[in-house]
Amino acid sequence: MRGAAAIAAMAVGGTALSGCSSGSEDDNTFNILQYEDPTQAQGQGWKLAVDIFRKKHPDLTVRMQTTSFDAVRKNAKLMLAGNDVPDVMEFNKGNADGGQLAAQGLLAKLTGQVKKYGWDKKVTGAMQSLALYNSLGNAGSGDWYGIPNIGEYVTMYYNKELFAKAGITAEPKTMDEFVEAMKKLKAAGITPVSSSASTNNGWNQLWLWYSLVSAYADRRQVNDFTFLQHPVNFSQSPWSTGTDQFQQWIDQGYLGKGLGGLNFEQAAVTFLSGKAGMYMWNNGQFVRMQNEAKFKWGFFTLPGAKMTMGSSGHLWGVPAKSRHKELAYEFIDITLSKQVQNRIGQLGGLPVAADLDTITDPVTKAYTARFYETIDDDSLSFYPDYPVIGFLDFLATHMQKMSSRSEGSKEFRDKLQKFYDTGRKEALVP
Amino acid sequence: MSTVIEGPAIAPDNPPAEAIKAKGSRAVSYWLYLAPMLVGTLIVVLVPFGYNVYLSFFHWKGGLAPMRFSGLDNYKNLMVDEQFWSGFVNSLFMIVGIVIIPTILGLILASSLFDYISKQFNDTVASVLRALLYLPQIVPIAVAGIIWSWVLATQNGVLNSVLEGFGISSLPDWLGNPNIAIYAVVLMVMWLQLGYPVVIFMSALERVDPALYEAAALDGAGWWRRFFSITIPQIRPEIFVVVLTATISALKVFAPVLILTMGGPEGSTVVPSFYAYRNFFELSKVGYGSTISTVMSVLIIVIAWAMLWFQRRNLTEEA
Amino acid sequence: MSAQTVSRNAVPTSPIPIDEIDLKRHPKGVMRWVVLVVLGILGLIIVAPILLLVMDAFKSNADYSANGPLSWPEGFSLEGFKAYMEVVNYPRALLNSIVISALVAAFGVVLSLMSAYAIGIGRIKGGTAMLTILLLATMVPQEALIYPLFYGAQATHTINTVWSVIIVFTILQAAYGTYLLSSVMSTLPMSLLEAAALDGAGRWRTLWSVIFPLVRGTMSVLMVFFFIWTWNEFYIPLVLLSGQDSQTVPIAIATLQGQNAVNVTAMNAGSLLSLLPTLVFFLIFQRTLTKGVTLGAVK
Repeated sequence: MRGAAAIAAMAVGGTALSGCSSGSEDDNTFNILQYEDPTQAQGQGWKLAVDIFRKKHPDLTVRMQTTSFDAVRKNAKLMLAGNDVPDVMEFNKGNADGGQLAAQGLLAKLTGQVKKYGWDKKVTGAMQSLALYNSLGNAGSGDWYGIPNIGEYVTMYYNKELFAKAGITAEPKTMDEFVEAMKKLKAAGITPVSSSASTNNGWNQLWLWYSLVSAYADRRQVNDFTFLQHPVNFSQSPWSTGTDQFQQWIDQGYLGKGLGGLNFEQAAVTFLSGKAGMYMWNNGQFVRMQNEAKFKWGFFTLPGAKMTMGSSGHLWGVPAKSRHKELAYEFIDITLSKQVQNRIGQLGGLPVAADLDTITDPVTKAYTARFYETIDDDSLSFYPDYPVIGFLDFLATHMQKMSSRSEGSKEFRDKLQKFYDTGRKEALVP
Repeated sequence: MSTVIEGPAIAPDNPPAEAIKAKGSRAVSYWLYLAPMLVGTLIVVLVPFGYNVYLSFFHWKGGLAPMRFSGLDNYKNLMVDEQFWSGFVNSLFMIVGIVIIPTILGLILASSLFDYISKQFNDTVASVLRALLYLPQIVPIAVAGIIWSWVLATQNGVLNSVLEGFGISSLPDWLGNPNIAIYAVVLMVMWLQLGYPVVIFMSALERVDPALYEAAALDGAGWWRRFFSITIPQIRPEIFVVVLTATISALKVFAPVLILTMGGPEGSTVVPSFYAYRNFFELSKVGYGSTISTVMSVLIIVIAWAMLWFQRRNLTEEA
Repeated sequence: MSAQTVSRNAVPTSPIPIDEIDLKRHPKGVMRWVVLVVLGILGLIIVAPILLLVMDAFKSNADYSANGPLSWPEGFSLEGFKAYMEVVNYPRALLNSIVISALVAAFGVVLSLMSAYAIGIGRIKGGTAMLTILLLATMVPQEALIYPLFYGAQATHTINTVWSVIIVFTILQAAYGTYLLSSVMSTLPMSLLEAAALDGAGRWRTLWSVIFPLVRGTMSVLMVFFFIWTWNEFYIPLVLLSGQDSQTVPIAIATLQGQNAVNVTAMNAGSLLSLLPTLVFFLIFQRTLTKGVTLGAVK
């Protein structure tokens, strides 16, 4: 066991190096915790924000720590209840995540600061909805608990070369034209839409379905569903219309076959390798399309749709136990400053409050401009899995069933009604 | 009946000839060797687990949420919870994929490497082969998930490409078909697990007196006969350890499921522990998750204790 | 380090047994090659998926996106590694992982040896019950322990330091080690102990001079297992080491998985870099796995 002894000695030497923990009780340290890729748009914007903040506070030690989305999802409840919390942190939007943190008193209310700094002038319309939570942790009303820096919306990315090959001459402008385009692609032997339906990150079918529901929905119907404002009847439009059409598309083979085992990443690769005409996703893949697509491509929101899927990005929040709340507000304010917002915009990150004119790349500019339109005409319909707890899993399972055609529109909507009503009831009692 | 794990050579009332110290102190000083582990277990396992049992009598969303006492509600709900109990069918699949096949295959492979390859070629060849078989054990589960999604992909996946090469036309949708997805998970856990018994058994065979093999070979016993009459009896302690620990793993397993299928397609690969995990995190039902963990732990303890008892009896009969 | 006393190349000069009747149809040399090839093919099948990862780690993003994971790389690219290094503080995570895994392996093996000595050789009363209690560590789902462990680490100020994880995993791994070693020890011939006692060796000396050499092979196995298992642990480190400075390699890799985008090539590169240290560790210790002293040598 001499080897063991040597290793132990080596390791003890090593611990000497990594002895100190991050959570120094030191009043001169300002801890920021976030989980965006530091090399991407939002991460780059925040680097800039940290630089600005440091210049303002040369006497402070500012530490930006990176964790993962999943870690915050699993850990935030535990960590924020502990003694050693970050001074400002990014947290996950939605009832099951941020809502729980807010309801349990783990996050500071920001309503007063929003008024003081005027953040509600920069974060407007549907961008506000998932920043507000009531005492039960349900989004859409109540106090401000988080501040988003960016937005998200879902578009169809399409392969212009395959469209031309299938004889589609113009970008579809109506739902009928869109269906016609899918028909032509299919006739030309091209899978019209690259999709996925695995319960393990195969959300494409879910988004296609909800995009179709959104296409026939109005603001009130979306808010009733998302924010539990009034009971929802899934046997009526938009639910019936959208789901029936979704089933038609599956039956016609417009969305491909064998989706049950595919995830969104695999579906993205199918599109990027030129094997499918379209791919529906949000801005999470926008920069990748720009960098990696070897064909001419474009994007559009679902033509003829009344509403489009999208929401704010994840949120900056201030832990209730933060030791530097005032500094945290100041930092959040910097992330909403023109300088930072424009930087995020130039890199294709869909900032909530940038000047469009500062974005030089035409595709990025058009992509951001279309997003601002959806905010201005208040046509964002959020994501389908926020309203009730455990919903994502339920929906994913049924999307799988619909995709393999072992369940039809009506059957799915009946089960949806039951699950949603049960979940809604639970969500409305403390 | 005394509760000792009996060495083959000696009965409990006939301690080794070391009557240097009185019996009392003998027992005491052995307890000293066990003390650090007991204290550690108390702090790291028993107290936390006790707290987990305590939590199972509450409704609690975790964090700073209020804890509401609910008596046996969680247990009552669990008894009739379809989603939980149906997962046990998949536990049987996991036992096949984690215990039965890898142990049997591991025995044969370890014995082939030790009692055939080593002798027919040399130790290095056997070591290289062992290393190859062990490699999946060093792959972090998240990485295994990435790799296996490539292997099992329906269109152009490695496995289906191979099947196509063999002229099979209707290719299985491994991760998308609810009837076969569990087999895909079994394939992956077998791959992950195989190296563990191989390494343990090979090191066990090192303990065996080579004279036994030589004598058997001289008597004209072939490989299979040596396998059954020497290898298996001689390394029984390790076989017990592998079977018991693998059984515990099989009942607890959920990371491979989480990483490969998330319990899908259509809930066909959900296992009981996965359900506990979902309640802890996704559903914010910490009390209910604790109940599931408690019930699972009790089940596992009963099974493990029965196996340990059997192991002791088996090794005692030997004496 | 006592070498094997068996000549491994001694071909049995026995009459051909019935169950190797196949050999009659083949010249003797052929059979051994058949077995080798069969085992070799099995080994390759097992390793193939990992080779796939190696191949993909050296692809560029564009190559991966255009051709998927299974095609031959268009060129040799380090893009994934560069991206990984940019996003993750790899040297730091590597150091943390090595420190944690190595110390757990060392402490865990020593603790296992001492505890197993009490149960397997000392045969203390209630040994089976004791083992069952110790084995609870392997039976209880980790998420059931996490709240108290978190608060305990906080109370002892070990949270966000490698020590919290080292203490927890030393115990969790040693439970397994105690079981394996005590099972092995319970089959040791008692004559050895008697001889030691007659020599006047006390308990401590008996452990180190008689028992330890006999179970050294098993201990090497434990050493390897503990290191690798601890290295790959995810959940408990995720909770106890939320600070970036104390992150381990698997947790660092997880930061590449966003909600709506995965940095696949960086992830492949990172995965490969995570495998390498454990592979090296295994290969170094693989030699000692076959260096256990056989009883035959003792007798």
